Amino acid sequence: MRLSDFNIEQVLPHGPSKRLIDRILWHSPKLGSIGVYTPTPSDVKDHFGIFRGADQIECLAQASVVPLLAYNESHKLNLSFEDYFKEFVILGAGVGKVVMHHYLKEGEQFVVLGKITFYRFRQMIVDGKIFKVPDSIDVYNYFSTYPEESFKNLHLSPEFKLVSDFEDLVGRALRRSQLL
Amino acid sequence: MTRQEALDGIVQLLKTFNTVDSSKLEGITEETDFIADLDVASTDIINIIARAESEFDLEFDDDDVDELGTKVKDTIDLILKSVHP
Repeated sequence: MRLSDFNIEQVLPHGPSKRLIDRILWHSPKLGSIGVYTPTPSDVKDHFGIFRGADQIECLAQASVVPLLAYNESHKLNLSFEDYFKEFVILGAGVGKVVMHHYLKEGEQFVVLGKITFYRFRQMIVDGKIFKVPDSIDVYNYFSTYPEESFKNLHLSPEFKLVSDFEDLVGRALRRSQLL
Repeated sequence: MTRQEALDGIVQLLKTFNTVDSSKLEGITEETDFIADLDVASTDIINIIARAESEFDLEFDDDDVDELGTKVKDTIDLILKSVHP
């Protein structure tokens, strides 16, 4: 099974108020993953009706390093997601370059692509992009046949509008017993 | 493998990291701290350990790396533990 076969509550321990991904649409364990989200009224409250840039970074983490580390590490340890998250917590450890090209408003669906560039010793680094989804495209249908070759270049059809670019988002899985 | 050989190997490896100031590698000892003395980002330590694993042709345990300290001697201990388990 891939991450896209699970409900989001199973693969993300966040929630529900801090969960910023509705579903994982596409997943390749060695390459990365794609999530989808639509900002709610509470996401844009007190922020001019605009989805925050900081939340876009969180979205990338929730669409990529968190579920990807959980998937790979739980398989390695032969644990269910539930048991894995009882033992480990996945934290953001840094982000390199972030460029915002456009903005997102309430109700504007977007997809988040996170491509693995490093994975070793419970630490994963991804590069990513966020694209606004055009009204004419059903993302669930679009990504059901999305090819790995396109993902390697983080390429989508031109109707998708690039919102932001990310380099070197770092996530690290820590045993809960290591937390102070 | 001796501790000195492991230290020499780590220094050679660090010379290939463009994020590490090579002038700081001249007086490196076991007590040198990657973060405090060499200005290595904490997230880069994992990259260094992964490279050490490859360079020394070893396999480190995830739990051992989780508990690794930030001094050079900690990495030497990890290498020697893997060479002589």
